Amino acid sequence: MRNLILFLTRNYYFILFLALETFSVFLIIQNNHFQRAHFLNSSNAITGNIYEMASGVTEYFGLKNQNYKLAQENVILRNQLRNSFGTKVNPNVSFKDSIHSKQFIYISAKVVNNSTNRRKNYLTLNMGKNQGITNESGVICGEGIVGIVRDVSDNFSSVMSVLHESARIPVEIKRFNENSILTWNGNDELYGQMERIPSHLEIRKGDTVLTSSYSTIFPEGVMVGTIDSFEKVAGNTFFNVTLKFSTDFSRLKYVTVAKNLMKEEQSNLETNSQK
Amino acid sequence: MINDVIKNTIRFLFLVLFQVLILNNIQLSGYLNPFLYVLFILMLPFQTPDWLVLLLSFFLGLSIDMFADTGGLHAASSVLMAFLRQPVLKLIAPREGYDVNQQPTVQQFGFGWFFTYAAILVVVHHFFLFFMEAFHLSEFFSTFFRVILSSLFTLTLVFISQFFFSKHKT
Repeated sequence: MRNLILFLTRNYYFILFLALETFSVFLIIQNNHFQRAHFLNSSNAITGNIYEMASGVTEYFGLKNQNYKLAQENVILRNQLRNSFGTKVNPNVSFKDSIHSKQFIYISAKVVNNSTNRRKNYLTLNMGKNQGITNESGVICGEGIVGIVRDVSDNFSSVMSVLHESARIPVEIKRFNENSILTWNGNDELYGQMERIPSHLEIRKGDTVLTSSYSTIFPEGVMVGTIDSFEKVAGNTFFNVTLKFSTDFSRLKYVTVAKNLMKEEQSNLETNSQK
Repeated sequence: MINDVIKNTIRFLFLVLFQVLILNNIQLSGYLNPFLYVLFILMLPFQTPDWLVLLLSFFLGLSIDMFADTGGLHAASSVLMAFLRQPVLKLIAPREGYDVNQQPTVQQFGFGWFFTYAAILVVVHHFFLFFMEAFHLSEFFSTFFRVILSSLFTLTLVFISQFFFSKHKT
């Protein structure tokens, strides 16, 4: 017994170390269990209050989240805008019902995957069928157009970016209401191409290009970009125009999906009359 | 003596808060993750009883664990570090030994001494911490890389902090 006490007092340092270390490791292992000890986690009163105090200061650093909420709110407001309502009846005829019916519905989504460095670029959004996104919907963001929904799963959708070799988007030069088709040649993510702009138009560098009303995918008048340069094709009366996108494709975070509610009606009519 | 207790208590609270509120939010590319709170263990006065060093380190680690929800990860690493503090101090003791009034600081023992002292203990702490966290050796080199980078980051902060504490130490 005396020897034991002697041993303990002589080696108390090591024994205390072992005891504390064992207890710590025990805590680590217990922490991995599903039901963990509740007295030692960050939801207790002391740590909880300190975190709350700190969050009062760090609120400013959470602006990213705030931006997301604002984007959501924008969608709600955009849904109430006049230009998302198509005219259903001749406004000259008096009619009991409202004269506008909704044409575009906007859904906010987060970009969870994005590429700009390939020739065929796609984005993935965190919203899908369950959130009401359908195929062939236009995708826009605050700065301009983004792409067209190509595939939807239950909770995700795959978007063909404007930066895609086979993307063809009807656009118009705002100043002349001149329609054209926007394409991308697969080289520079900052610039797109527009062909066959009549050379009698006095286009200038910096002219605004918007989505045209010919598109059934995008709402009319969404910003696309500005004219960067143009050249006359030899022996022809057309300009080939290079356009600078207003969208920064490499930095997309939150986008808005525009779903055209009257698209089916319009395309059905068009295919029927062209038979 | 009383002065030392107050000083160290304040240092304890300050370092824990600084760690959990500021440094824990720094995670550069998933590799750099400084743990400046070990500065408390490094700077305990020489005359602190061994058992007290162990206990204080344990509670220091436990406080960090409570905030970071890591069970006893930091407690285990800190206790190991505190345990090795005594042998390391003995190993690198100057010829005339330590004076009761001295503090383990750059000002009193010079850069080389303090670097050896801090580097050994910080690397031990980080090594144990990151490998306990990973809990397997399959990503040995990536974990090892994290240990080295984070240790360098922590040591840099430790040295910077020396200039801050120097004013009220004589």
